[in-house]
Amino acid sequence: MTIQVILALVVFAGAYVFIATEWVSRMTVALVGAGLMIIIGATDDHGVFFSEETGIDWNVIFLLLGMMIIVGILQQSGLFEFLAIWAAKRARGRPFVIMVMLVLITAVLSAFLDNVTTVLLIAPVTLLICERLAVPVVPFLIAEIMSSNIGGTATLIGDPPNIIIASRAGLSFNDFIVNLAPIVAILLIVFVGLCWLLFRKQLRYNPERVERVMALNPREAIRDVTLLVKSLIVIALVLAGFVLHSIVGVGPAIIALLGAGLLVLITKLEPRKIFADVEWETLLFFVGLFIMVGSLVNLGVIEQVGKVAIDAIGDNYFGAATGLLFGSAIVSGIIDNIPYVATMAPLTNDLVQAGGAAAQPLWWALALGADLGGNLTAIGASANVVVLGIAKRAGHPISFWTFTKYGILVTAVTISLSLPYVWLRYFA
Amino acid sequence: MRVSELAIAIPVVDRDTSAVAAAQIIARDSRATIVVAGPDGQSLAAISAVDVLRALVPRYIMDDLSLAAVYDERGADEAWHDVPDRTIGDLLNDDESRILDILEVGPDDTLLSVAARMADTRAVIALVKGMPGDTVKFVTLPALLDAVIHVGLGKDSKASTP
Repeated sequence: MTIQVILALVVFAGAYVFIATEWVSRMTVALVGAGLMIIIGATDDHGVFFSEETGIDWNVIFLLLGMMIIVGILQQSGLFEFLAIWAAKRARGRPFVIMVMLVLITAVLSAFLDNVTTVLLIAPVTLLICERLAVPVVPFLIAEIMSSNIGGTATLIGDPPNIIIASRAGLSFNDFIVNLAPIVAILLIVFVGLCWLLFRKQLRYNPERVERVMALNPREAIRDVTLLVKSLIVIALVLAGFVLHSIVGVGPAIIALLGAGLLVLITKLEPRKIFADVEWETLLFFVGLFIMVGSLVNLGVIEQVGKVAIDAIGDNYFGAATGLLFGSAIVSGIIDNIPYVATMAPLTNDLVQAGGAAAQPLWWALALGADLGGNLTAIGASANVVVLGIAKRAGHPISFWTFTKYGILVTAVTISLSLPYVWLRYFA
Repeated sequence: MRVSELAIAIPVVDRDTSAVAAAQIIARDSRATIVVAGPDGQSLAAISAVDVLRALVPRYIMDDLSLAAVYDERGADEAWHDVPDRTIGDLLNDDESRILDILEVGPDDTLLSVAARMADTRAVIALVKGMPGDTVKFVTLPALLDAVIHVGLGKDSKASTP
């Protein structure tokens, strides 16, 4: 092992520690780590900007950018608030029915939009509905976080780890729908049952408060009907583009950028509103991360680890999938699943390249483990952290352990159910 | 004119004062800011009346302003029944609050000197240090403007009152 490799591993491990402990912002850590990798010669400008194997994954960056612009414009329409209040009224104020409807709305929106935006918009309206009904809001918020993480697993654009996996593995939007949506649908049904078991005693129906919910007017939540219609049309076109990707021959990143451009063009919003919800820090975090992981690929570290893994696995790909599923869930619950998947993607790619079609299910095991593992702890996913912050500010704090005790149970159930799915679908 | 001629005593709250009590003082005296004292009784900071208002509006409405529109009149009135139990200390700790530093001036400072310093620092209130007696006195922006108009701007100027 050369000094350069040792230095690169020290930089990489150090960056992981800083990202996990959140002593400094993750963007800063990733960019400093990337800078150090370049200084020690682990990569160079060509490797950073132009190499598909070792460079910044521009497909991921621009797909995220395009979707952030589209979602940022859509959220100004008031659609999310409308749907939540409409659901509460359709449920006629029955708390558990409202919870189920909010869980399903959150899951579906999270599958097609990013999880953080979804919970950021659903959480305040949930607080309003619970205040009107005089029911505790904490069970609702916990259920919404978890359904967001489960729902986001279903599609290529639902969770950032899926975007990384899709780009690295060359998987399409339809591949994700066909392989992950069925198990996500099952998991959501089971999750609704879990909500009933876990929260039903806290959700007492109070007929006297129902009138207060029925008096709410969801139409007033729609701030701009024209903007809403234009946004929905563009999102429908973008989703159609994703589905017809193989026919139109244009990648998801380009489709998202074209959709964002079209929406900017037809809504004529000022730039401040167009880019208000673009998370530049997240995009730069990805950039730094790709450079760091690419450096390890460039130095042959990932290849060496891959060889060890290939020797250890042999042709026992179901064992490997089981290890990836459970291992990814545990690691993703403790550290951010984005750096984890960014690191594991090239390694998994080596395994799939060596094993061919028989090893292809490893991608789905990685996606399921990393996405569903976000529910394990209060810091397992960005959506968890965001909603816990909203709850605290609103005077309904959810402690780390309050969330995590539910998270351990839900993650154990969802991962355990994913295992027979993977076995039946790909190995039986 | 010396600033001591403008100095007045105004209510000072502490960190444990509730936002509702602070709002009552603001409403009663038509104040734009409220002065907060530290544990030692010394004036610590000033909080804008708008930030006190922000503490009274349900937090989920502040997180998503469009939700305010979905209430009917009765529901909107009922929303005030559940005003969050926040204190001035909570407001001082809130990153979103605009905490205003209190400018310190001397009792013999001239009107021009204090006006210039308040304009420069965008202060809306100034503590007059060294006044005789134990009373803590302040110069407020409305009082200062009133004095400025009275002393200078009204004379041979082209300004006219509506």
